[in-house]
Amino acid sequence: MEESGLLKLSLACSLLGLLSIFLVSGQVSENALEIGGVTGDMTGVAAKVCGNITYKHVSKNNHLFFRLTDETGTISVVVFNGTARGMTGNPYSLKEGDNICALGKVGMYKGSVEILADSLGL
Amino acid sequence: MAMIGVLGGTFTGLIPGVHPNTVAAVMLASTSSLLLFFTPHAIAVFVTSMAISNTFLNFIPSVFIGAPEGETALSVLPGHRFLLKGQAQEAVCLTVAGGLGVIMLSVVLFPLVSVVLPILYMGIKSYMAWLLLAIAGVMILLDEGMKRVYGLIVFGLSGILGVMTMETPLLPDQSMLFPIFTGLFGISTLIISIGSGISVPRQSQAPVRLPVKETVMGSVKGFFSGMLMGVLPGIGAAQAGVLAHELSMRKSIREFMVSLGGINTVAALFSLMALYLISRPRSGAAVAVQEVLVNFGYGEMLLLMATALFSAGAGAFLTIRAGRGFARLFQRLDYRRVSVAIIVMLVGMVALMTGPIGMLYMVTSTSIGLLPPLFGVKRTSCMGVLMLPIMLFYFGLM
Repeated sequence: MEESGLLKLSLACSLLGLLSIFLVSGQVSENALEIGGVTGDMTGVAAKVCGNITYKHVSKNNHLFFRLTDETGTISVVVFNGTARGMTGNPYSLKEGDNICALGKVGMYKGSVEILADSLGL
Repeated sequence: MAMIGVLGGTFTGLIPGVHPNTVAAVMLASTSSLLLFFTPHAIAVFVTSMAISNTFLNFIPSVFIGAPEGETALSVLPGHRFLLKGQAQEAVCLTVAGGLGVIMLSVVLFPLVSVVLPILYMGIKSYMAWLLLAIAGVMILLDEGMKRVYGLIVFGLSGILGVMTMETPLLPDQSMLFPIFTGLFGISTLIISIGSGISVPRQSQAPVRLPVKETVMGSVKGFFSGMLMGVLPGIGAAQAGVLAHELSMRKSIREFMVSLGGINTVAALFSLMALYLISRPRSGAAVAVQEVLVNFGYGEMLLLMATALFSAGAGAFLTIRAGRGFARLFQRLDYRRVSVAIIVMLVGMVALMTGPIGMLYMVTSTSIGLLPPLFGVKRTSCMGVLMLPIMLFYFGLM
């Protein structure tokens, strides 16, 4: 095989790959996880959940606690003081009834699943 | 994202010592922020594309950089032999052919592999430690006479370094291996090259013609060796290549280059496929994909296969083109100055990423990395840095 043939094969591969990505990407879901689908088995894994704030609490140490609810369930979201201070916007101004997305690692606390949020998206 | 991934793979591939696993580890630390701007699938596509295209482009520095002077060196890496004969572009094209060959084989044989690989893994899982021990033993025994003792010394020293690194919290997890690999395989090779006073001969500009039989055989060997590597932790592409070469009847350096290119690519692909097939990540890139793709199903597997096909094609195209450019460039450059500049850059990166402790690890690993060429044993003995800790882990001793 000549070098030019190898170049043509490379181009064919990349074009076929692009076409396959286009076809397959329609088959996979890109959405955030359903809150009911976040389980303790996922501890340590990065996850994105979206829902409605049904409870908000700020601790004495300025840690922020939410409860997010969607049609599949409810999950606790924790934003530690240090993380909250580094976020763009003011997460403390969020209120019950707001719809937000929380992104962070899945964790377990006293037997309940929670999201240790690194970012919040409105 | 697949195209940006190819750019990432080009960056990590062309700069010696920078591995996509390092980039993936840095990304892992900021997954949550990335998820604000990109979907999990987009991040997985980027990581896959970077990992696969890197396996093509990283042959450019391994062929062009770090070559010793031909007559005096005790051990010359196969890619450097081509460079010293003025045939660097042929070496590049042979590895590209291997990479493309195994990607096409992987696509065609995917249904078969998805049945065989889990069975293979279940079969060897209980004997993983013994299997790794046997591979390390065979690697050392491939040398002759006193070289076996030297090989054992290098394996032992790099293994102790690996154990010390993983057992102490001195370096952050995401950049733990960076100073060690930079020292063992990067800076030490460059120092030997500088010391030997090499000048790169005029490189052939004639179009390369690849031998069909050796290309096909090399791809098939590369595919099966790489598949095994994908499920075995701690085995490097060079080790798998050397084993496949030494254990085969026909010993052709061209076939070896093809299989080396193939192993590199297929191992990166199977380390990702292992996520779906055996639910185990087998590389830093696979860990990153596992972290972002919570539900890793058949659809995700197909998406990553399609990404691999694209990035292999794009990576191969860029590698062939870059190979020609490097061949013209390197015969005009002062090889010593280039080597010194790369060492300065690597030292700077290690200092920036890992600080004084990382520098200490880098100096230690460079000293160990200098031993194989001085003893005349295979550089793959340095893979003890991963193999020994993994063996100890599987033996339940770590």
